[in-house]
Amino acid sequence: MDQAVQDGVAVATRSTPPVSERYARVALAGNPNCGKTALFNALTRGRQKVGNYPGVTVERKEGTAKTPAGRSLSVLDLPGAYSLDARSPDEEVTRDVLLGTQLGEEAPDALIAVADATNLERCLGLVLEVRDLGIPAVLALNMMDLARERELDLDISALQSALGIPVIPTVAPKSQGTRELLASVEGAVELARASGSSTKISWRAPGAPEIRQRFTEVDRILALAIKKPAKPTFWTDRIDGVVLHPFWGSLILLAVLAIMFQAIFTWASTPMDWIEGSVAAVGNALSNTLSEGPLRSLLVDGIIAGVGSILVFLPQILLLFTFILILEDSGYMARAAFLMDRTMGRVGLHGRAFIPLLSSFACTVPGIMATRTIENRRDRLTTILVAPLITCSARLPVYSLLIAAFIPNQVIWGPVRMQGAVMLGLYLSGIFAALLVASILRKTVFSGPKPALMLQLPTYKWPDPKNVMLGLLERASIFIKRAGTVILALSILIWFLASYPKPPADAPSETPGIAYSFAGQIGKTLEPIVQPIGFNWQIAVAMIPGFAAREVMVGALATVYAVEGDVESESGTELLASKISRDWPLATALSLLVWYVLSLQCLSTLAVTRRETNSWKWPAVMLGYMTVLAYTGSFVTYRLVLLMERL
Amino acid sequence: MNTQELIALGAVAMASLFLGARFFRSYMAEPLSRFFLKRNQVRAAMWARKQVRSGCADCGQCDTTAPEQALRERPPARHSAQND
Repeated sequence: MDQAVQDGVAVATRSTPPVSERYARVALAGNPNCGKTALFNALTRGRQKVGNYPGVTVERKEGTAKTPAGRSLSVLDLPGAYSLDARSPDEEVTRDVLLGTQLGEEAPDALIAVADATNLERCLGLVLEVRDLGIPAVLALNMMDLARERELDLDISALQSALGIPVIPTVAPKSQGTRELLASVEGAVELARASGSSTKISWRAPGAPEIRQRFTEVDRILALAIKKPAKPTFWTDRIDGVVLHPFWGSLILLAVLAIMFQAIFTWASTPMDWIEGSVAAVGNALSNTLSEGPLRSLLVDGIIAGVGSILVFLPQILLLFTFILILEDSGYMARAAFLMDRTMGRVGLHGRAFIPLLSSFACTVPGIMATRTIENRRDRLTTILVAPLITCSARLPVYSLLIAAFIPNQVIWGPVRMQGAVMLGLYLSGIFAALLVASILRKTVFSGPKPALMLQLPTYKWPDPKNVMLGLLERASIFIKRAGTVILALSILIWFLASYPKPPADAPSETPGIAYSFAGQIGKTLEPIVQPIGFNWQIAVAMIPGFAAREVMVGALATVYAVEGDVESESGTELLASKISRDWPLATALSLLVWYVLSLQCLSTLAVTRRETNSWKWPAVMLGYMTVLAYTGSFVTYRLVLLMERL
Repeated sequence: MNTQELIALGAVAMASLFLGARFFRSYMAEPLSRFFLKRNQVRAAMWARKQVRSGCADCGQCDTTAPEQALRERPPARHSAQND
């Protein structure tokens, strides 16, 4: 592959077929939300999340597909783009891969241009652009089922002759048309190779006349191909009339969130009891089998108490993701983005910041990486700096433990209970803090105009159970893998720190052994720093491994109390909750909750911020401002609650 | 030191090694690779680069570091000529 930039035009020349085993390398290109990722899944049978809001495909995804003739194709899923005239880093990647100028990436031998059949007017612009590159191309006319439902009558052969490339109708979630598509791609590659000549890929950023000409061309092709236009989306429009209403829409969004957090507590309790029972049974069995000694202590106080107390939260995390996946798949998430854009716009956040912030509810790391869809550096940095304030799923076990220990589960109104309401409040506090900090940043260091958001709202559809199940399986395996690796290793280490060195022979019997341990000494050293915000030395010790994985704080607390001998470790989280509810004042619990809402405490987030900003300055700023914010917030909370208790 | 203590401390050593290796690959290998590269120690830099894995690597969305690297290293205004 030879690459060059000649007279301002990117030029790449492909002269020889690839030498590797694969027959050809194929790239999937299309607008966001045209079902490109679903088609990639169908072609490669790979597992990848499918979302309904724009920009979900930020990462590079590659898979292998077999043609009907048995040849192997390497398929690359490119980020969604509206044009090759890139406006964001992910659109730049798409353009550069297609032009063969992306570092470390070979140019594709063929291209599958993906278009939403129900929205050809929007999609054909990019199709025309990529067709003109000169790469052998096939158009996948996706979402044909929705097009038929809306009674769209398309003349495929007219479209094919107008475009000059093969057109294959597909329904990606049902794998319809994928065989024909792969056969067509194979044919296009064969034809290009048979012609023998090298293909010259060239592209020039279009000026206004070229863009106007392209729109005219799209209109001409549509006039030829569409015999009967699609019926308007009646139900989607009617539902949107309510769901996007400034008042009713916001109320519905709040109700959806309230139901979600209520369900996390109510519906998850039974499976949580099962896991807790199993963990306790294993702990009891080990206690009865092994004689008293360090190994038994490691297994029961370290591993069972540490890992077991975190595994218990699996049902809650899966419930949270069930809701998120259903909302994404149904098309509601894009509406939530639209509703939130008003609020985000008021604080100066770019509308595209919604997707990274939404991803941050799962984990801040992909959230920060998703900020690449934001073209402006000021907007991008603002979003990166506030993303860790959004409550990630690793905070859920900490919230759940403290809420179960300190908040009574009394009914507030109807099905709404206090514990669910507090959980919702914590999530909203994170959002509020993010908006507040963004507002301050945009008015000070990152001041500037706020560009408007262009958001395409997909039609509503029933969530695909297979898609939701795949997403949940992925989340469950991530959680269990994390529990079996990092959390297990950290639990073992915490047990060691809490158990060694042993107390001296002449140590007074009333002092617990842990006071002489490394953990005890570290905790006592840190205690003066955290005492003003109401934390004791056990919390200080438990917070340290929380930097590696936030949820380990729960396991670390369980281990510290188990080694101390205060908690029957094999009885699990419930006893830990009752122990801390007896030992800690309410002010400490609330202060710790505020700390967890506002503090950074995540090494992975710092590392990804360093990578994405290519500087240590921004991770340092992030750690600094969030630590000050969290300490101040915890201090104020602790003092206020103490004051109120005295009154 | 009895057998129980020996096994327990063995487990602690293994856990420490695992966490140490993970920490190195997640947070130290990349800066180390750049450090070696600055000193023209290409082989050492390549070895360190091979060890790199991204921050958490749990969600599967960040396990491909190559395009990120390429993104960052790309000259910022390659297509400025035709955009002007």
